[in-house]
Amino acid sequence: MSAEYYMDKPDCFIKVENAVRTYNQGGIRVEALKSASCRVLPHDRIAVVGPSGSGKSSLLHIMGGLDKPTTGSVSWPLLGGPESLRPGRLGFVSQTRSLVSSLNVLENIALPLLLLDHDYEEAKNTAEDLLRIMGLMDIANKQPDELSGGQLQRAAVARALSTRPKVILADEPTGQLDHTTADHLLGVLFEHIRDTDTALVIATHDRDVARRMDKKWKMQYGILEVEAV
Amino acid sequence: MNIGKWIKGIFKQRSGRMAGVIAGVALTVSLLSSIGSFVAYSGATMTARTVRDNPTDWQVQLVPGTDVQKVQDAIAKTTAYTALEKVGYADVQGFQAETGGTIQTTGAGKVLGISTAFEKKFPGQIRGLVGASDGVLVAQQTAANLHVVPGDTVSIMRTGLSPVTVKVDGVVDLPNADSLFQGIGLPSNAAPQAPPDNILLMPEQQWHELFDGQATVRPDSVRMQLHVRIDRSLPADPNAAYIYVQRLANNLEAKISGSGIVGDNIAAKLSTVREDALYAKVLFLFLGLPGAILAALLVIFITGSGREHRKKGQALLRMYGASSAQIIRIQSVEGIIAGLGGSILGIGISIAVNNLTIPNGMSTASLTPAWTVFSALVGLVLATAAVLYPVWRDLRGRPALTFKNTRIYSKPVWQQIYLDLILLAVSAFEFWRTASTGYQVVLAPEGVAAISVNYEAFIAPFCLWAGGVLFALRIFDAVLRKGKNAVSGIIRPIAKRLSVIVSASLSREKRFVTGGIVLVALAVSFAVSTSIFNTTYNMQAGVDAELTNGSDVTVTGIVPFENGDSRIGKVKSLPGTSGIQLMQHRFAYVGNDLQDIYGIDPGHIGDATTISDAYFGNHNAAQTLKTLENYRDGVLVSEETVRDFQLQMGDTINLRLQDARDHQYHIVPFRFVGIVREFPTAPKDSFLVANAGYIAEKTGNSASEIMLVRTSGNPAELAAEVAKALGTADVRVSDIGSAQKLINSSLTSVDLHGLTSIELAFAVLLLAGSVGLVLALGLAERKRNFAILKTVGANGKQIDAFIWSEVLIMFFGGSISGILLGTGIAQMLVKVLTGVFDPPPEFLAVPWGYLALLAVAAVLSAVIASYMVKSISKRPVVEELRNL
Ligand SMILES: Nc1ncnc2c1ncn2[C@@H]1O[C@H](COP(=O)(O)OP(=O)(O)OP(=O)(O)O)[C@@H](O)[C@H]1O
Ligand SMILES: [Mg+2]
Repeated sequence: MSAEYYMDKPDCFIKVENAVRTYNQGGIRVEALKSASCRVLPHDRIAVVGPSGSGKSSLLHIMGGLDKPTTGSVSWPLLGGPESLRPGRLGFVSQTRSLVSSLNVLENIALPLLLLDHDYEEAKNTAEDLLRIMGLMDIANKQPDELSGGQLQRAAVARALSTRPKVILADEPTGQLDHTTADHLLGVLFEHIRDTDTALVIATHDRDVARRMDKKWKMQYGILEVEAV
Repeated sequence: MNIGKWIKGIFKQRSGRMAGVIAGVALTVSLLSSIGSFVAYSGATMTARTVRDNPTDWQVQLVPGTDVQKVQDAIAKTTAYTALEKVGYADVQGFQAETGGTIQTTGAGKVLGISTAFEKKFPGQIRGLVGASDGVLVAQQTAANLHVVPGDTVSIMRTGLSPVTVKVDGVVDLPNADSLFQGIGLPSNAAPQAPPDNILLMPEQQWHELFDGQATVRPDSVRMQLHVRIDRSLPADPNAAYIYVQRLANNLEAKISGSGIVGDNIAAKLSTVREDALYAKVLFLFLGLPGAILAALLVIFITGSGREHRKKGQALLRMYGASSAQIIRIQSVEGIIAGLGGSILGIGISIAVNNLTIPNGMSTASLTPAWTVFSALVGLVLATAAVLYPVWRDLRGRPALTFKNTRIYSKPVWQQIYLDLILLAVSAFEFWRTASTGYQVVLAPEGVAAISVNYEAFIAPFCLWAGGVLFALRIFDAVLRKGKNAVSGIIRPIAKRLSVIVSASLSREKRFVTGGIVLVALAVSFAVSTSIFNTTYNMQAGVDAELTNGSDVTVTGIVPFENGDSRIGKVKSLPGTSGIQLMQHRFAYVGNDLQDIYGIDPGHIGDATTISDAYFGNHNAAQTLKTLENYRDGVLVSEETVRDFQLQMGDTINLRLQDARDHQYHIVPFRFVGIVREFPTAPKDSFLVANAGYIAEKTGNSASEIMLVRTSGNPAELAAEVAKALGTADVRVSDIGSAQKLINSSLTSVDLHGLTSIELAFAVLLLAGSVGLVLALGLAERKRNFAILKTVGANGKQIDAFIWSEVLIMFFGGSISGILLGTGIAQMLVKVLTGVFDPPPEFLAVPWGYLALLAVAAVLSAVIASYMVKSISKRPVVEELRNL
């Protein structure tokens, strides 16, 4: 089915139109994203798959408002402008180590709520709940540089969930997890958004993860191929 | 491995850090070499000034019957002298004069025979006061004792011969009587000989006519001396000059052995000056070294930061297959480049600074090669060590890519052994010990060529400095670790809801935050202590000069100032005059001792000069002057007089003063109301201070000999105006500036201005540099955290909360500790160097203007640094996120 089909649907969370992202690396133009058009609707469960270097992260950054397309456009019709996405409406899990190194795990998870001006105790309680669900209670008071890669990823996911966002963009959240833990993480994610209209977009190499999602977007050489299920 | 490529890489990737290291090294080097130049320069100035102001270098006393020509030849062979005169000394039993129908007789005295050229060849030895300046001249006090003026006759009671009568041609002052009449050839431990009270000078020929006979009758009572001004091309350093002239004198004594002994005036003068020079050296080092240490710490701080960067570089090198030794070698290139660059820049700066601050001609000479090489070497070693140490530490540590740290907090060793408290205790103890026994910073045993500094005196301020910094470190460490609530309370106004996690974050960055606090504290304390000390020093040098000169401008009337004298009105009406006071300066007998007596108006003397608390026995100027004012017949006397006469407060003390009506000394009763130690224009030995009104009434003479003038403007200009208004025929006008130049015996004569301005400029640079660098580097180190904060959704204000909280804690924590520490150190330095000050300062002078400038510089650099960091954190976050 063509991309235009999706474009016609009203009231989506994220709308990307003909996005192109080129980098200038030492005078050489790198086209990370050659062409991408897509939409994220309420209740969507989307897996973005593709080989390494195909442009998955680049796309997620644009969708999350962390980066701007070189040409083309991105908008968030149901969420507001790029300024109003985070913290709160959009949770972003980055592919790299993304905890604030001077805060412990609990504080990192409470951070988005504190940024939303929530009371400290309330934010802490929410963070503790999330840690419990994630099975991370024993590392609540640890510093990020004391954690394993997998623990870091799970903590980052917990942080993205803390504000009960409308959209969760997760870039390789299970990259460093074993199957069981990855499974558990996904379970928690789904459970957390079960009775909501929250949309979930996960960039992943993991077939099992991709299989559990409703839609699969394929990324190849910077070209996004969107398929409806 | 391609070294060239690596170096290019260093400059490209780490240009900021590299520039910081070079700047820090340059600061260290230029501070060190500037201190060096100043030590050399001030020493050279002191030598030059001493030599210039010394009238007679040698007084060679001849054994009776010696061939004068032979000795003269020996002197010529020893030094290319520029003046040589024969002077005859004859001991006489006394002098007698008849004036106003009474006969005055003095005790034993001396008669000098001098050539007509003497006064010209040795300027400064004889100062004409009244009448002719050649012929028969009577010393001032002798003239006072005999009540004679030019034209009167004096009979000389020769030893072993009949008295002879001479006519007085003039009255003179002999400012160097101490050395002129020194006991030559006395053992060095003998008490210095006081100059004779009664002195008469006469032309050589007349002297021979009168005393050649005495020499035959009583050979021991007549001596011949050769007065010599030696070739004055001496080493610039006071100590070297001292050793040089001493050897020269020894050399001469060996040549003329048996025929004469050398009275080495120039060596004696240089001996005190070398002490002062050593004082100066110690002082400069003590004031400047903390700055150099701070600059060095900054360098270490810069190289120590950027660990991530360095690690990446190392990992890259390892990938190329470099061994640890190779990595160290490659990195040392970076250190050497920074060291060379910094040293060259630093020496360039100090040359420029010297040219600006050291007067013409001296500047190039004073940049001594040894100091320059030394400071350049320090720069090189500093840079290399600072660059290599963290690398070496990293390499020795855990394998490259582990991030796990043990989080179990272990106190640093110095905290475990309470080094900070020990240092503070040592400081307090040393301070108490040295303060209670009195300070002798420079030790100069009599007659020994080597002098030494009592470095123990500096233990107290040094320990205060080190202990204080460590203590601040301990306190802030504890506060950040345990006092999170307090910290979050402090930063709540800035961080609001985020204050809890911001304070948590600060606590985790504790090592860095406390490091920053310490650097800021060191910079602030350096600036504060230096500026307070310098200001106090300058103030005290001013007080010292004022004490010597009397006031800003002092007018001495050869014809005294009568009440309603038109000259007073003339001076009063000059635009620069802001206060004017007349002061009597007479002589009074206390028992048989003739002392200077000053008649003042206690209620108003302060209008024209500074009356310091230290001048009086009770350390209270206001109270003493008040008491004197209340007792019309009150008198302030010296401690020595109190001791000699067993005086009790309120005792009547009978002085003898000269009455204007019959020119005779009559008893006048005074009441002892206080002890005076020093007073404007007064001599260093015993003197008296009383009410001018009482003295006027009792002596029938209300005239005042001295006019003290205070100015709101430039003293030298006012002095010139006064001289123009009054003419120079019957007054002498001196200003505080010329007095300042004359004070030679105390360190306060060293002009610290050049050094002061250098140090104060460096202090501003260091403070701005530390604040800016600490904040910028430290925050840049965590730009990843700021990027993450942004991806999580922090807005500009919230990121500011993190940045500004840290700035606030470091800036204020550091500033407050620094101000406390700096004030303490300044206070201690002033106490330690009490011997330097005469009189000691009553309070620390605080340079508010400069401190305000410092504050502005510090705040400005903090703000600039924060904005720099903010601009870094404005960069697209994706870039930061992609880097692991
Ligand atoms: N800042 C940048 N400068 C230059 N090139 C970049 C930059 N960021 C990404 N690229 C390039 O853009 C391309 C796409 O990168 P991207 O990270 O989006 O791929 P990815 O699909 O997420 O890969 P992976 O599965 O490995 O995470 C890559 O070739 C990458 O090298
Ligand atoms: Mg990716």
